[in-house]
Amino acid sequence: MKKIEFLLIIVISLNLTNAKYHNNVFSEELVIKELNNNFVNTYFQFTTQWNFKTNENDLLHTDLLSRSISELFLHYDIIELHVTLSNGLWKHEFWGFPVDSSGSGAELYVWFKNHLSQEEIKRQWIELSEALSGLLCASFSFVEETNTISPHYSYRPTSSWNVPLNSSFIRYAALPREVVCTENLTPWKKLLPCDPQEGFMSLLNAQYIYSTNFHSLGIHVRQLCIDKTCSNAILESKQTVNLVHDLKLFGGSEWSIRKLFGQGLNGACSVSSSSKIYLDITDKDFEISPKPLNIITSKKGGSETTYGEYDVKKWTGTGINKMINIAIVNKKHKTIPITNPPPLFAKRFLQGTGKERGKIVNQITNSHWSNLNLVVMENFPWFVPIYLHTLKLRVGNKEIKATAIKYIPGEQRKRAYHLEVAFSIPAKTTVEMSIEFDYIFLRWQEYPPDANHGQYIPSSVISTMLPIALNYTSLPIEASLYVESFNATRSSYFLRIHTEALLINLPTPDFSMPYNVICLACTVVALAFGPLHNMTTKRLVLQKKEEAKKTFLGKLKDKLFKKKEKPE
Amino acid sequence: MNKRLLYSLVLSGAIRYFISISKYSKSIENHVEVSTPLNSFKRLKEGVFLYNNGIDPYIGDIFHENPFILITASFLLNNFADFISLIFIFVDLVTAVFIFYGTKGISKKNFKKQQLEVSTYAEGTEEIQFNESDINNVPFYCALAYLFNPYSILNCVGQTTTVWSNLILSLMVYALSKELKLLCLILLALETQRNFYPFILIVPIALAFSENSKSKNINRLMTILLFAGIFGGLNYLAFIQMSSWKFIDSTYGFIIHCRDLTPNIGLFWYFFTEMFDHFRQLFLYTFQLNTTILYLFPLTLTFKESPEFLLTILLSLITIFSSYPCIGAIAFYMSLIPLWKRVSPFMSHNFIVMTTFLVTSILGPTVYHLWMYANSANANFYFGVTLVFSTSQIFLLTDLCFAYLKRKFCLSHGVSFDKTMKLSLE
Repeated sequence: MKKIEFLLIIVISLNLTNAKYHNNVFSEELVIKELNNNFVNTYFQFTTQWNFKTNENDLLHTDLLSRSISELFLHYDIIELHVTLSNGLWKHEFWGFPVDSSGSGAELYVWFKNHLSQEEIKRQWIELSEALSGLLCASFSFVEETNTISPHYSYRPTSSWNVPLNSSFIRYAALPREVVCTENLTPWKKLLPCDPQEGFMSLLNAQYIYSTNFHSLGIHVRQLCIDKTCSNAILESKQTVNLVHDLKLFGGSEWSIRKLFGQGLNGACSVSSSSKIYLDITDKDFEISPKPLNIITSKKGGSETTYGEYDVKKWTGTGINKMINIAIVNKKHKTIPITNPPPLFAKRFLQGTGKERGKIVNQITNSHWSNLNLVVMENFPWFVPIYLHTLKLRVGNKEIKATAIKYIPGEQRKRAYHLEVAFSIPAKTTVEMSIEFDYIFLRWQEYPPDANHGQYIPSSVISTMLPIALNYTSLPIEASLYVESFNATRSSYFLRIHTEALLINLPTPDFSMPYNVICLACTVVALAFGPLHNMTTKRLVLQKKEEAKKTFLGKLKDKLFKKKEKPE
Repeated sequence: MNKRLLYSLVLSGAIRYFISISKYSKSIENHVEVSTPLNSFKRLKEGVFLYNNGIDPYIGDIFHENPFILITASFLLNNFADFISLIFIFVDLVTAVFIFYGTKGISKKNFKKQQLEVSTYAEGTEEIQFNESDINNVPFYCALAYLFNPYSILNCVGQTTTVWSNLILSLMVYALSKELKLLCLILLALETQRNFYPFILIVPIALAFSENSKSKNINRLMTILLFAGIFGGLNYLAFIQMSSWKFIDSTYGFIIHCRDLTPNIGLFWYFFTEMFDHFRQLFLYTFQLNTTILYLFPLTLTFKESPEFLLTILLSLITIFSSYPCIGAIAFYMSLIPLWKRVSPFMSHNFIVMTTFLVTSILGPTVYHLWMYANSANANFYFGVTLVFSTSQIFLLTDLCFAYLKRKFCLSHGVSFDKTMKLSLE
């Protein structure tokens, strides 16, 4: 019983039937926050909400929403889609929690409608990932049955549908090898209704974005029902960019929008209903130029945050032809920031030497003053066979027990290893979760190009419900805009974080040897075949030695001897 | 029980025990020469763990033992987890005892058979005839060959399921010598379930049981049918136990298709790593035929008068050419070789074979370490050593066969012939 109660906490009910809804609204938001050690986090969110009738082919007649996105919903029977393309590592311990966590490389998960059979979902999932591959110029075509899992405990729908969906309708895949670059940004921008040179999008210059320490592009689309039968629904598309800039590259700790993005802001997007910048000014020892028009204080879950708000729509009216720039000046450097680690953070690494046996370790730290229940999800590729009996959860030297384990063993060339472990992590401790695996030998044609670079293991996903909102910046589940997260006090806060992806170096064969190996191994087989064939088909007889002695060498000697004799 | 056998049991048991409590036991267990995907103790533990937690171990990629081993291991690990290494040592010693009594029976039978034919033998062949003292000596040598063979010691310390295989095989040899047909067939079926290849041993067994019957062919056919029935029945029992047929593919399919390419001492792993995909099936089936039925009929026709010799030869053949060979299986067929003590004077490659065994046994783990841990060698080094190791085993096998034929020839033609004459195959 306890097990079930524990798992239910992750289930989030979503009731939108009475929520306010918008027909065709586009909003752009930019949240800027200074992080510790001279880093700045900028988070862009472009939200489109569109009311449509689900029983008609209304989905094809879009206005602000990109038709490419609505077509995905029409053709693949999905109700929720999340795609992220990230590079770099978000350091939770120092930077707190991101608004939107993403695994390194490409990550994709989708909820399908319940009228599909499992076979249909299998097909739709592959086709959808191929469509996304074309849409975003990313390698989603590498999503196959072999690296897809259906998370059991870690994911719940954030969309709404007329019946509750269980984990058999979600598909999740991660491609940690994916390199994210400008070829993904350009098609991503095209999904937005504005001109790329207009509004907040004008700040997204590839040259500046891809020189950051961490960057993540995301598309999060969901369907929200307005009535109970879900004939009237909202399609909400959220496109996000999350960046972490290293101020050392800009020569000092003072920064401005122009420094970070190479240019100022030339106003708001003309079709947007709101364009706002929120600058986190909690306990800051700097001056801002220009000063924010509006100061917002957000209190939630025991933490207080102050934001300076800039309404770019209004601002444009006053300063035509002027690029908008927000600058941080006159830093006092008098206060030394005390790093308050967030309630939960994790590290992940490989243990062991050699290429025979290894161990994957997740170190998860709870710095909060009470127990935290969490679920760790691992998605190991088929070439990383893990031993479940070696799974250990340890606090110091003491072992703790998992509350629930979901494990689907992998199969070579067919299925990934899917492991979800739910456990309770005691207050102020670090839990070490470790599992052993074998390095295996693949067929020579299965190694990727540059085989000695190694193979990636996707990030593990940690999900929990936090009792306090310290460092917590994510949006509440029902919220669409960042502004709705202000003062959103809840009984608990759902948090998902991703750990590092790992790189393992599998032993490699000699790729230049196939012919030699085939010849040599066949020779050894022939060494057995020859004598056995002789013995079983011939008879033993006594022969005169002289006759038998005429070997090749003997003949050669005879000839040489004769040749030498001749000239004499 | 024989006194000297008892002493050697105690001594070899002590050797096994002290190695297994030493710090080396873990690294012995981890060696690829000892543990293969088919017999590793770690995989067995994983299978039992999954089974006890309600997850079908056969849908995964780790566990490939048959359901009976799964249930036995589950029982042992749940009740006697602290005594596992002692149980393995005990099983290994019991194996040696059964080898002793099994080979004793076979020696007796060989001697009796010889009594009937001895009048046809040439003069002066006493030296190569079975001797009455052999009945006491040979079984002891066989037991010694098993007890003190470094391969079987390492195999036992490594706690592989090959230890159980060897027990089943030694019991089978014992049942064969005591003419317990049903027991013999059940044991063969059990071993076939574990390792698949031993099914070809039904041929020498059918030959052995038909020796004293009037209608030999019908008797042989009945034996084979009975074996097929028992084997089918055992699989059906396993199906009832697991309530799924998934284990068939996960055990026999895994062996036949050689899905795991982890290095081992056999010929398969590197060959199928480097194989071109469109030839994979062709070579896979060629290699499997080579291991099983290619030599079965010619060898049977050649050695049909001594089913026990045929058994030794076939056992070594399937060990050399199986997809996941390990040193434990080699130790077993080696322990049967002293049975043919009177054949050994005709063996000519002993020195070469023994030297190669010695060199490759040391060189193999060394180059493997260099490849996996020191990064200063690559796969080719280890492949080269395993090739030589297989070659030396093949030499041993063919030398034994040829020596047997020579002895047979000499028994009827006499051992002393003109120096200018030579025995050769025509």
